[in-house]
Amino acid sequence: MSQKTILVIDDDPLVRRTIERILHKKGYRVYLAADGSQGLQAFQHLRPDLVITDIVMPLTDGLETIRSLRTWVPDARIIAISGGNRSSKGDLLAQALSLGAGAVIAKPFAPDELLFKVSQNLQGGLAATRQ
Amino acid sequence: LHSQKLEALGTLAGGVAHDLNNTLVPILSLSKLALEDLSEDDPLHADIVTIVSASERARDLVKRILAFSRKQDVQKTRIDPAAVVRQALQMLRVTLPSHIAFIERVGDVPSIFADAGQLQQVVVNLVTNAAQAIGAAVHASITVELSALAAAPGAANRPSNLVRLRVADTGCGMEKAVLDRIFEPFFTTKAVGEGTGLGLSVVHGIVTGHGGSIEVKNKRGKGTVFTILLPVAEAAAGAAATASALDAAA
Repeated sequence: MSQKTILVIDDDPLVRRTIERILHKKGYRVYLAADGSQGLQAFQHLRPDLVITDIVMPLTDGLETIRSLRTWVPDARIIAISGGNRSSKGDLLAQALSLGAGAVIAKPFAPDELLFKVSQNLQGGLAATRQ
Repeated sequence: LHSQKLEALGTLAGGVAHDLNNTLVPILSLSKLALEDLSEDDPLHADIVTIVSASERARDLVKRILAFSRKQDVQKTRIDPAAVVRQALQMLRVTLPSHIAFIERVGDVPSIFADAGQLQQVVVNLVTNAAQAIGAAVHASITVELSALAAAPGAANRPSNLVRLRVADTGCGMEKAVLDRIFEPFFTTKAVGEGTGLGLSVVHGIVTGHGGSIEVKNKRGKGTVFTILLPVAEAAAGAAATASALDAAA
């Protein structure tokens, strides 16, 4: 079976490094992007099996990123992650689900939770799930 | 002015909580990952278990801050508040000190549109606060009532559109200076280490986040009564529809 590829988009370098470490340990090939626009460019080149994107990011945020990914590739596999809403009211993870994320995860998370949802989404389970 | 102050504190708390959650990702995840590679005999194992416990405690604290700031991701569904309140009381009954009489008057009420976990937290926080106000006092009681708010006089056939949760204690009550600040996050009259000062601010955040209101009546030396009003599901849906219509018209 070929190695699955995952694109991680998060503006926080410590979070990126952590997710990379967790996924790499389980044998996934991981690519990193520091914001939504970098992530969208990387997606076009790499066509990863799964995208994990943060939501609150400068310039192109995660919701905009999910919208663009869904327009380009309607069945793209996406997991949204968030540490909560910094500036306005509303449930960002619920918005991510409604835009087509296959799963959402609230930060901080345990490695098992991340790996479970990654595996579930890569197996083609696009049904929306949240913790 | 008071509600503006709470709103400003909520915005600040939401920002801090967001950044703390990000900071906790490497601490919690990488310490758990490191544990996978360490046997329990390893001298580092216990240290890393301590880091995991501390980061989980910090994560729970952030959750409470987010509940106050109303920026937590909530899952509102149509729920039976009586069932949720009874469940919370069942848990509280076994944890309350035995010298406090616990009086429960939970009636059947219309369903509300709410996050069940958050409603439970409101009950737990208010009852815990009441027990702390009572302390070691004898002949003390806490009364929890849930009822549909009676229709206004003259509107005999009008259905109630509010659910009322009332938590009354016979504790020490509060001075006005304390009463004015009880919903502020991190405001506490307890000694350092005995309380976070978040319990009532979380209650305030949850109740207002559900479109409800909260009132406190207090008599120094006699006790305190918290009364919470929450809209029933139909009323909440009607208010949301009106708000959407107004937004669309704007």
